[in-house]
Amino acid sequence: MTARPLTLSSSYLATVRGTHELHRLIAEGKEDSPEAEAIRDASDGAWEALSETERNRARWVAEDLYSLYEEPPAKQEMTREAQAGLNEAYEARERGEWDRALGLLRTWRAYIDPSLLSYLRGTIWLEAGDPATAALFFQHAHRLNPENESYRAMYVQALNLSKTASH
Amino acid sequence: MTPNIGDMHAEQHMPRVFRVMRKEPDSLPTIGDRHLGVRPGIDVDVDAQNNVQVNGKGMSVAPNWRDINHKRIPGRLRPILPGAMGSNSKFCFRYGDGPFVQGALASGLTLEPDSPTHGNVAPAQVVPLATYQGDIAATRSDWVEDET
Repeated sequence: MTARPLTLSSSYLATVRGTHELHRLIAEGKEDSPEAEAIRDASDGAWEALSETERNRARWVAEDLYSLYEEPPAKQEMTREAQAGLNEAYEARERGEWDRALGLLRTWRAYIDPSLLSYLRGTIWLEAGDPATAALFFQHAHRLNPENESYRAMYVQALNLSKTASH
Repeated sequence: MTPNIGDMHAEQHMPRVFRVMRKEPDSLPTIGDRHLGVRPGIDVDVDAQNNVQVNGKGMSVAPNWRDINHKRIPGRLRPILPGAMGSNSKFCFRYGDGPFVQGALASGLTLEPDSPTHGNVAPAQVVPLATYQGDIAATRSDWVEDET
């Protein structure tokens, strides 16, 4: 089976763009600011237009993006079960089962390095068709591990793609 | 026509609706255009005489707090609803106990669902803005915090 990008509606993309902006403000301690309220106000219409699948996807993106500025869970020693779960995540990504791959990464995130986690999330969103979200995760991976050239290269690629997509 | 709720307790059998609002020290919602109230010209249309139009618009509500835009759900509820991004100074409130269907909600107010997951608390008839705001404010004591 060939992995295909998701069909992302304009309402979904508007919702996620608002999520990016709101996360930036929350990270700066401005969750109660007028700018944050303006983003919430502006996002209600798009939210109402989303299907239940899109709503779930938008909520999970928002949840995963907290990892860009929150403390990661305590690192766990790799187990056979965790390795199997991560292998499943890789396989799901190869098959284009984007939501499932992201869900598996969420389940087993404590067993992998936070920079690798963000890199993998970035690769999924890049292939799934949301380079702007991918860029945020690649940027995080690069910030945590600036020595890794792949992280930097993927960040630049996703950033360029997201700029192209927004024009 | 303004619904006559007679001797019934205001919230009994009325549609169950949820809204995210600030609360006061008495644990009831804050009255205000972003809380228990409306933003004239945005949530409702007002004519030159300052009367609220009856056109389905009104105070936004949902049949369950989980249906509300995740950017409005307080972030502390993330363990229950992943991706919640709302202010932690706000709270989910519930009103009523009946089905989420079009009909009387309180004196002077109706529920106007526009989808299975969203509706508006609208004026039952054309009334001055102050009357409509007063009717909404009069429901204050029947809202209860519910984040379950």
